[in-house]
Amino acid sequence: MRTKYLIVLSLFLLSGSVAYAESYYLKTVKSAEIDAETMQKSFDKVKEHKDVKVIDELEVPPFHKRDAWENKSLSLTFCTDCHLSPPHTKNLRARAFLNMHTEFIACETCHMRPENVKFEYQWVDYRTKQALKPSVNLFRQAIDQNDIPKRAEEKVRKTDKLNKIAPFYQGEMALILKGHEFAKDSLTVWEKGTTEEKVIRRAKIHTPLKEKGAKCKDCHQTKEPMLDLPALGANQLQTKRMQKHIVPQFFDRYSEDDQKIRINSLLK
Amino acid sequence: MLRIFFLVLGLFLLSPLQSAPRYSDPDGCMSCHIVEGLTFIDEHGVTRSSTIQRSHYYSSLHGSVPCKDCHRKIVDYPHKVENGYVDCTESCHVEEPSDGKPYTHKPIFEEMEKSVHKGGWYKELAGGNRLEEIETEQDPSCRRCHSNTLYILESQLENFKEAFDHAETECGTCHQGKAWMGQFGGHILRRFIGSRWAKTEGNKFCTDCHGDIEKMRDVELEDPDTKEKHPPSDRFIHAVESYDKTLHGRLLIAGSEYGASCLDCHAPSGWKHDIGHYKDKTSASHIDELKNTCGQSDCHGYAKKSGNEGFVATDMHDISMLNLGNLEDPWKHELLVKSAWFWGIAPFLLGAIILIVGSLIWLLFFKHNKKIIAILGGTRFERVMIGRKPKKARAARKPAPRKAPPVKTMPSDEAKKPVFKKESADTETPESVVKKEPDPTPKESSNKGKQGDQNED
Repeated sequence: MRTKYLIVLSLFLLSGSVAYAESYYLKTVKSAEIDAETMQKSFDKVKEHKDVKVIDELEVPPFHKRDAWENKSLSLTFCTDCHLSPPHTKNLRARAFLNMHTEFIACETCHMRPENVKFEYQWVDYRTKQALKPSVNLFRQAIDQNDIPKRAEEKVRKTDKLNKIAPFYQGEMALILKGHEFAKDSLTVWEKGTTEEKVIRRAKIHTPLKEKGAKCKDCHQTKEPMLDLPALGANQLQTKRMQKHIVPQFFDRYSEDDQKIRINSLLK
Repeated sequence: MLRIFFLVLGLFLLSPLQSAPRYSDPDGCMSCHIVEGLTFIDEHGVTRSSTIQRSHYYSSLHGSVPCKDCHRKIVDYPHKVENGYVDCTESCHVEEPSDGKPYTHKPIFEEMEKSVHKGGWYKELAGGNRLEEIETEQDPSCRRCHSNTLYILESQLENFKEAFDHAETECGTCHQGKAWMGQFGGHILRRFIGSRWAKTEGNKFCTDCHGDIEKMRDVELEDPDTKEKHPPSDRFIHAVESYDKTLHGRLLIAGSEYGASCLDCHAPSGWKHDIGHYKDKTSASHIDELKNTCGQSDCHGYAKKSGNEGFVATDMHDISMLNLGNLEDPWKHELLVKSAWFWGIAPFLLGAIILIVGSLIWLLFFKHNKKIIAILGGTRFERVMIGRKPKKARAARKPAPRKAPPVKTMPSDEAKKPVFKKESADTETPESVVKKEPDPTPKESSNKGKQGDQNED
């Protein structure tokens, strides 16, 4: 009898430890030690911060028909508690393309790349926070040559935009989402805290992250790409189309941020 | 152009879901711009999108125009904003079918520049300066009214199918050969479809701005003669509301096409952009020109005939039809003192006030006094004209005995009583006959009567 009780008790404790296991991101944030340089940089960023009033529609409409911006997964991301949605605004060359990737790539996939830790990447349903079984249907690319979109505007297949490729560490999702206790607390600090509290919190939040995300070429290449696309469910055709996409090849030719290249040259 | 025609037919008659490029994208712009989800927030906080919907673009009015025909100076990436500026008055590579010259919107721009809307942006148009245009310019730019719409709006699709059902047979009888259809098909199609738009759809171009009262309040107008700037009148601000009250507006609202649209009256000819001030003598809405405007084909032809001048004086934007007054505090309204109704009713108001105040004073101070102030004659009317005692006097009178015994009176007393004339001698009582005294001076008439009677005997 005693053995049975011990087994039940140990299972209960184990399940509790799983339920309350901290993600890699949260562990890193809590154990972070902020140096003076990081604090100064954080202080400058807090001082520079200005709220942006986003205008979605104007009285003068765009001349060409546009799709309404709808990326529901971004509203579930912890980052958009502070950052704009879509978040990339400064890089004139890549901002639109980077924002396009936020529909199916988690922020942390590109911006959390620790040198001494190797993540696994899996599709995650942001509603349930559960990993998804790899499938060809999770990708926007056509499954085969006959899988041509019926409507011409559907260059890509319609997919569930609440599914994203996210980093996993030791079997656990390595990030937190909006609504997490730490996210709520950070929001309170940002809204009601003193400047010093804001600076410290801002510095800690960004400790595991890098301002510069992954480069296009990190994934869009055939030799040792950052994401193992077949493991994520992509078939051969999908993998080929993504790894040899023409746009990343354009961008790979830029060596400086403010460089301009003639389009005719890009097309050659 | 043949491709255009057959594309549209294919698109909407055969299957609206099938679409094919009308142009081959010679500059490779679609390599990037076709990617879905290219959205960003620009420096002004405006959400922008770089994605061009391929099927929509190729099915649109500009579907056969290559990107660089409009965005002429774009040569490198990232694009310099100025290099993407569009000038709507430039010509493009599409040929005008009748003369083979490059097509341009310049004639429309030239007409626009003569209108009240002159000054609107027509060049240097880019997606990134829409906010700047709104903040700095009140006159409409080309793009404020015209977006790159489809050849045939979905709402017009059924009309198109019905009306173009005969194209292969009736038109083909004379206009044989693919060359003709290729050259003129798309051109005719556009005009044809444009003319089949419902008037309410055409009015929407105007009412999108003119129907916004708050926006119209901020408009600064210019007098065509003096060139002086002045704020808008109520008539201008509420022009759409007042139009909706007219028979024209009501007919269109009810679904009839017999009502006149905004352009039917304000720009009946040309490229439909020459909308003039009503004081401008060249304007279709000028008082001297109204007989031609109202009397245009299919409308009020009799307006041109002499003797019917009064017809054109009908106010088509009569704001008195609208309830624009501030009913919360009418006494402070400046229009009150200008109202003939007010001054017409003022004496009666004054009399009513005196009557009410006088009645109150009487009630408070004089009601309990028994003395009646004979302002209007008191009981005199009752006593003299009716011959009746006042009510109070009647109430105080003792009741009369039921039957008084007959009392013989002396002749001297009888003489004092009034004598009532009886209609017939038969009805006279013996007493009255007895009491009657002979008339000392017999009248002639009575004698004559008697003589006649005697003669007849």
